[in-house]
Amino acid sequence: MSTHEQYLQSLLQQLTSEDVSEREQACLQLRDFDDDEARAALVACLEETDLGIRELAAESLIAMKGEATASFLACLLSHDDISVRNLAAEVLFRVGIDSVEPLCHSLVDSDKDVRKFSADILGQIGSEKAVKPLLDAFGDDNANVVCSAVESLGLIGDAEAVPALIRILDEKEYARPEAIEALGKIGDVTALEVLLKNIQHEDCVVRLAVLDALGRMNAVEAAPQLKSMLDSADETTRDLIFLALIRIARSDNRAILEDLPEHSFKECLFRSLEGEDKQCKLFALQELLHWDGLRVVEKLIAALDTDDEDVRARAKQALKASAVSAFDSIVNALSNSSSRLLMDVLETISYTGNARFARDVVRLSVHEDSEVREEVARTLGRIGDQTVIETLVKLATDEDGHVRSSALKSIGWVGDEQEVEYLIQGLDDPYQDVQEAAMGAMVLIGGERIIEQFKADLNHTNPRRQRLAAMALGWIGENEVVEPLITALNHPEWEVRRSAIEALARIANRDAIEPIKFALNDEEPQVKKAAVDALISLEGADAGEHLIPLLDDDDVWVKFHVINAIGRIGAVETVEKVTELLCDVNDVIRVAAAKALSSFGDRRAIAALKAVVLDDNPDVVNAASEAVRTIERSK
Amino acid sequence: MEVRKEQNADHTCLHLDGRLDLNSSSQLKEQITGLLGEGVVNFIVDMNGVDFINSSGLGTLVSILKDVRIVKGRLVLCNLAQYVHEIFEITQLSHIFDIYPTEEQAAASFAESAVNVS
Repeated sequence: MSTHEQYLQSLLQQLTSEDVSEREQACLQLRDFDDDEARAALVACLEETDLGIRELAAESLIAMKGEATASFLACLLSHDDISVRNLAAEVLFRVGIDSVEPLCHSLVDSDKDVRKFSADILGQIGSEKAVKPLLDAFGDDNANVVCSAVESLGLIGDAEAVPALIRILDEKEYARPEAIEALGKIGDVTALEVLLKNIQHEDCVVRLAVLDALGRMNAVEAAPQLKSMLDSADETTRDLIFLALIRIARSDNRAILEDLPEHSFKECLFRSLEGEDKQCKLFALQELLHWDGLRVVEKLIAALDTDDEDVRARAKQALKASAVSAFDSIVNALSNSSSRLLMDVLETISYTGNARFARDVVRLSVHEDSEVREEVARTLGRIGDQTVIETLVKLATDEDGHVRSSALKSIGWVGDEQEVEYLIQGLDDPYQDVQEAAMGAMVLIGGERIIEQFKADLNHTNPRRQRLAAMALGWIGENEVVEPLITALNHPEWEVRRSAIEALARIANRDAIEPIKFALNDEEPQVKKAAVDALISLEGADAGEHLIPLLDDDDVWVKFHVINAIGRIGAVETVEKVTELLCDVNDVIRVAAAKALSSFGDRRAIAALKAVVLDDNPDVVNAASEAVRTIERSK
Repeated sequence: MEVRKEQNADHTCLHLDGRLDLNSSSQLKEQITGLLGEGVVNFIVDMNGVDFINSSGLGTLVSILKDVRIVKGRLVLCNLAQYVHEIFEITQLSHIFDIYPTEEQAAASFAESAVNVS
């Protein structure tokens, strides 16, 4: 016996163990054997009482796939235990195309339930290979088998089945609704005539199936007849007509809705919102963008109550378009609604920015859910009315940091220097988000009082306040902040010095150039790098000559930063110094130097670059070779 | 700062070029106030050429936005440079302004929001 065979036998033995975990291990490992004994054992495990073993055996069989596996499984379709039958059916479905052949054989099994099950699974798998055997099953003497075959042909969607399905409409009355549904799903136009003939069928089940089928087929030819039936139709029929019209309309046939009376048109859209078809819902919501009024808004608010993000997003968009026209409905939605709905409605109000909503939004500032309070603060900011300031100030001291942050941001949008004290308190908040929100709000409000505060903060005892102050002065960007920022270049905290340099670069005041050149000699590498970027931003390529000394910097990353910067601005006057760096002890510097020389395009560097082919590091060799090619290609 | 005006069917586009600071922002405010007086209420402000904006510039944009909303108009921004984006994030103005990456997308937003009142 081979080792492989021995291992298989040991796993089969392991399946009889009393230890569940051993049996589980065996189930998992048997999937690697392309062997009928392994298949039979795993199929037998589907009958186990232990659900974990059943699931593992099922997963292993699905992984094994193959017609042989499916043939073993098909035998279980006649099992006495319905849970075993169902599990076998599920595994056959998940095995997919390999199950088709064995299931087609099962369509002529002596057991009618096996035949029906097989027909059902073939439909779910959806393979065209099953069309002919399923059509043959129309001759079965069991009605359930015939109906399953008809339904499955609809799921497969092959037009080859259409003539037989049309015939069955007359031949087998019991399968008529299923046949109509199948024709609708297949969507072949040759079925249209017979469907229209049955549109007024005496049997309401058939009538409804026809309406559903016409909608699924996007049968624009049926639209006039459908519309003419609207006035005399009962409620259920009207619903299906509306749904059929929407289905037809959304497939580039919007024009069919245009001559509908307004009330029918709207009803059509509303019914679609209540249905299950996502595409119809999205179409209806898109149409409702062009309508407003109380009822529209009520329906849109109701449409927000879904987990489908696409539908919610489209509903919100439509609601924003019509919110102001239905003030009362919107305000009503602010009472007794779920937090999620409240936040959606608040977002809608935010969008309108309409001050009429302010009083009702303010009422929600004490809502128990902090996420709602956060949205309230944001909404009040967008409304922007001075009457909301008092509420925002209260929310700025809320127990929740997100709410405080949101309130402070909104104060920045709405408030003025009178609210500065509240914002200054925010700078000392334990949360960084809140501190930055306060700083942002102060930047936005600006003005002398705030500039003075930040100037003073440069010498605050808290280093965080010092850094925020340097950043803020940069964003405020008025000329009067240049001098304190230049002074801050001598600040003991390097992060403050760096922020001051970045701020001066943003303001782009020429008075800052000399102090920034001086900062190139700062003891802290991060400050030096900021000074390099600032000088380049202020002086462009002219900055090159001032950067040459930094090419000898002790800090390798400063040197690296400077070489890259020099390469970017094309400071050719540094070519000799950069060429020397091709022999630097650090690989990253040699690579960066080669790339910078490539950017310069200066032929004086070619000889040195060619010499680098002897470098130990292939990255350096590649960079140098590429540089030589680039320079030689250029003039 | 230079402001170039472009009149379209459903909006007016103002292309800004230069620094948006204390001096230039008052010029922009005056121009938009004038247009509001003429009944123009929908604006795209194209920030593509704005290489600097400070506190005064931001404050003016907020003030203009409020003025436009009072007359039930709409003001959207487009083409914000990285630097301008940063300050909009710091001040959270990105939450109160409608901002689009391109002028085309901003213009399309006016077409989308056109409401046919029944």
